[in-house]
Amino acid sequence: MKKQLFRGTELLAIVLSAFLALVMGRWSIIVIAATGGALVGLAQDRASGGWKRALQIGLIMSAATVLMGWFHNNVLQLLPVQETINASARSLLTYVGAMAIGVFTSVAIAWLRCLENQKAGRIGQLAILAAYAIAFPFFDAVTGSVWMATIIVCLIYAMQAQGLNIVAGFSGMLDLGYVAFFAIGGYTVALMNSEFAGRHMPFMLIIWIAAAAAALFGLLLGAPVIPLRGDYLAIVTLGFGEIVPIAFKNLEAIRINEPISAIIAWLSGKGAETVTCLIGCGDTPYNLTNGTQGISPIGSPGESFVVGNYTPWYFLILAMVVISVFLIHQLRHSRIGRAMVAMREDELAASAMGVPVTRIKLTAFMIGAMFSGFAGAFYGSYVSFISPDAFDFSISVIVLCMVILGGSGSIIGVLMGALVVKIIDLLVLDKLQVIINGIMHVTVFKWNTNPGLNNFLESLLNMTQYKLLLFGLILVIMMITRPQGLVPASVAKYPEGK
Amino acid sequence: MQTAANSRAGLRQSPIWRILLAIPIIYVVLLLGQPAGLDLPKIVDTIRNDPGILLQQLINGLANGAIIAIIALGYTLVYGIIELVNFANSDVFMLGTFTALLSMSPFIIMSENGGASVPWWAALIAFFPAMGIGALLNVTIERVAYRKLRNAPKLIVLISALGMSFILQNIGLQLGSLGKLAQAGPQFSIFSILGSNNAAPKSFPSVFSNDNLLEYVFPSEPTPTPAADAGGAAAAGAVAGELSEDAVMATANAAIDATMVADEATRAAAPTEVVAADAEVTPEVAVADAEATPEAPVADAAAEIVATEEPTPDIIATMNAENGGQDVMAEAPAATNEAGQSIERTKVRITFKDLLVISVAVVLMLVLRWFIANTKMGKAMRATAQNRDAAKIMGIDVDRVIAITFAIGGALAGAAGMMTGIYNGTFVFTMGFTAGLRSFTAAVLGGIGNITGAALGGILIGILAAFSDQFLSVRWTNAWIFLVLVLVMLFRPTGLLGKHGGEKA
Repeated sequence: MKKQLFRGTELLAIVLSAFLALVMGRWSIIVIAATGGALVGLAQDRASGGWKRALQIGLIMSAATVLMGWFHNNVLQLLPVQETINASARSLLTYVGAMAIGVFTSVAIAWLRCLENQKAGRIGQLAILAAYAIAFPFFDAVTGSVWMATIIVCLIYAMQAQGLNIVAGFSGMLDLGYVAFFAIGGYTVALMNSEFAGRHMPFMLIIWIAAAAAALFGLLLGAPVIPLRGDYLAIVTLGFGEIVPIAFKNLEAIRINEPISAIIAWLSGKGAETVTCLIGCGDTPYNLTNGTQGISPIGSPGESFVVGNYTPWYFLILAMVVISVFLIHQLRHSRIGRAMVAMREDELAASAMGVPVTRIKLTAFMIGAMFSGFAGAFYGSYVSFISPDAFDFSISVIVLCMVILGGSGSIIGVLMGALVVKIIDLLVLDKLQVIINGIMHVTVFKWNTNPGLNNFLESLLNMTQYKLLLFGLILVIMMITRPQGLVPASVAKYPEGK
Repeated sequence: MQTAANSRAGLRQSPIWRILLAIPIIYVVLLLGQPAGLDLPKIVDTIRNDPGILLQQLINGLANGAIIAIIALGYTLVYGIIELVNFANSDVFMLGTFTALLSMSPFIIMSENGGASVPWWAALIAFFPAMGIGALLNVTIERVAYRKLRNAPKLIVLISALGMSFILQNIGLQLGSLGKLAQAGPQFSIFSILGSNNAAPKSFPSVFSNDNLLEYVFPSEPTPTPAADAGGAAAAGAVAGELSEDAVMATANAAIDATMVADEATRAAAPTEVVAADAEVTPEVAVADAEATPEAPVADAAAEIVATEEPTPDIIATMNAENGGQDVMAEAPAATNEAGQSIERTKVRITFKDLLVISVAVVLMLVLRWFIANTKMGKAMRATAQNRDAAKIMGIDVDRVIAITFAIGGALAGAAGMMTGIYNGTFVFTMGFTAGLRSFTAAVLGGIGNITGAALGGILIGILAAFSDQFLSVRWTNAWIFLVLVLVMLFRPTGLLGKHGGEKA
């Protein structure tokens, strides 16, 4: 049997890290090497050769990253539109650091994964990830890479992706309107803690209200359609994701009369005085959401949470993500979680074995909505501004992309998928745009004097307009080549009789 | 335990349970529907004062419904054979409109006042590339994204379809960039119709006049209302390039003020103001482009609609309620309409476009029915739909049958794209999304997999959309359609004409 040179995930880790390093350059290669190393490590198990193979692959990955980073710092830098790089970012320290951290991460994680004592191995991996996560703000401050704001957004999405993972990954239900619950969470915060609503509740209370509201809407939506087949559920959730922002956009002048009394008053020809008015009875109708203008400002969780100071926000969302991951991990291995997976694998067999399919589906749907509600609540507080335009269909698809790319059903995979997709979306495409524009400026635009043609080429090569294509490609390619994702969910083994 | 569950399921099937369930649902709809424009007394009064408006919206609904029905046929055919919701179908529809526009653009005649038009034969010719490209695209999509997944779980194919839909949408966005080529030289002048902003709505040249055919049958003295006058002035201004959309809106507002009694003025002016505010919101897609404000052709189109006083809340306009320029177009005719209403009753208009769209749809449906019922390939399609493995055993080339099904669906979507262009005069690259939601609802309403059902569902959804635009609220139309979708799935998952069980695995 021929030995495979690179397996899918490893190859992708190498290519992805090299590409990201090429586009981002500077200090970021340290972060990229660490992420790539984690991916390489996660791809190993005892059968694949353990830490020895991780050492080889990690070396290749780190070398590729460093080489590409060097290329960016020294060659691409010459392009006309680049910002300048400070000297420390191109010093030897950066390259050595990236190399070391890449190799260390891959070897350490692979070694921990192959330990006899699986529990200790898992704790060790978590410790490495935790160390990186805690070190990140200091790294960001030292190097002056302004990534904190982006990473916070990434973590918000990571939280959503974890929630969708329960619905789509564990239970196998396709929810295409996931953004609706995000919006409900965001608006709940806006209505509970803002000048507009005239209420100021503590953040720690509101996020629970927001999550409960999202779960309630999940129940209301799910109850009628969940007994139906999966593709109908996908369409109904798609519609729901479309309607919720429409509702938030237009619920700015509400006046609700009791319908029976209104019809009686109309039939009997009496005036408005016999109509029982329920909401918005004054001269001006009730303004719930402030329409397209949205609600701003939204109160912050605490005194240190001010604009421009990202560190407390970062640790808050990090804590929320960690707690979510822990809870979802517990859920996955609980009775309900096992029922979900059984249902996903074979609904008929599961129901024959006594799994209450409809109830489990509804539970999964509600829990998934709840995590999106948490994320929405944090998002509302973080940007301090909520408007219906922030919740369009593409968010649902981005979150789905994260789940699919990372590996549906795999908690750690989805976490990595979320970070990769959102970082590409927010940071890499812009950088790529700058580089391509630079290359065009020194080549084609120099030779070609027709301004109309140049204008057209510039618009055609505008990478920031290819987001939809990117997400579409991720979905199609992953489905065709690797539907289980980059870091597939491991098949959990339970001791017999438990 | 088991018997209790059984009796509960039996209760759920019984008509009494359904009626009992329906009463609270109707009450909740009446209660919560009010912010979305559901006000029965007002609606009945409007119709009683002006029955013509009902007929007019019925005609508009039929025409828009015909387009929805044609797209729904594509969904229902593909679903009937491989049980896949082909999300990309509605983006093929969008690209069909692009193809039609580009293949017509060499024949565009610019009139003195800036309006673009094409001769009727060019429009006729453009049907063929639109349908051809639609078919080709759909077959390619099937080959690339679905064929390898033939035996994969349903959701995997569904996700692939979703991804394909996004890819096509991005292609539509970048096709809009071709408009920038127009400045590169005279040889590229056919692209000038696309405008310089790739994300902005594109205007479609007018093919047929907006003459009221009823005028020829029952001639009457034309008595323009003040609203129409003001609208005409707005149109003239916009054509001369002097007025922005806001100005057009302002003129429309003036028209309202001039013609309406005081309380009606306050009622109608409130939404119009909001719309004007909307127009300032830059379309999000065009972040990279500085010139994100909707440009002259759009203003032109909007003004044209105001001028003709045609209460056509077109698919696209309502589809993109979030897009500034579109809102103007959707609301302006309604506003003028409300204004005109207090003066005189709506004169029912049937234009040649209405007839054309409806008759093309009918012809396409009849041809499709004939094809499926009478040809050998049609028989093979029915056999494949019934049982793919058995069909294979009987010597049917299943892959080929599926490819031909996709080709037919794509051709129909392309034709629908062309019809949308002719009928609405404007389109945008995101229109596939809402069109898809509507036509899928139509297919489910009619009974998915059933061709007559898709046609019926399309017409019903079109009429519902037109009525909602007029009598409920143009901003909530999608919500009302969604409500229909949920109610159908709740009470009759097999649809109106569906026969087989809803749980076909």
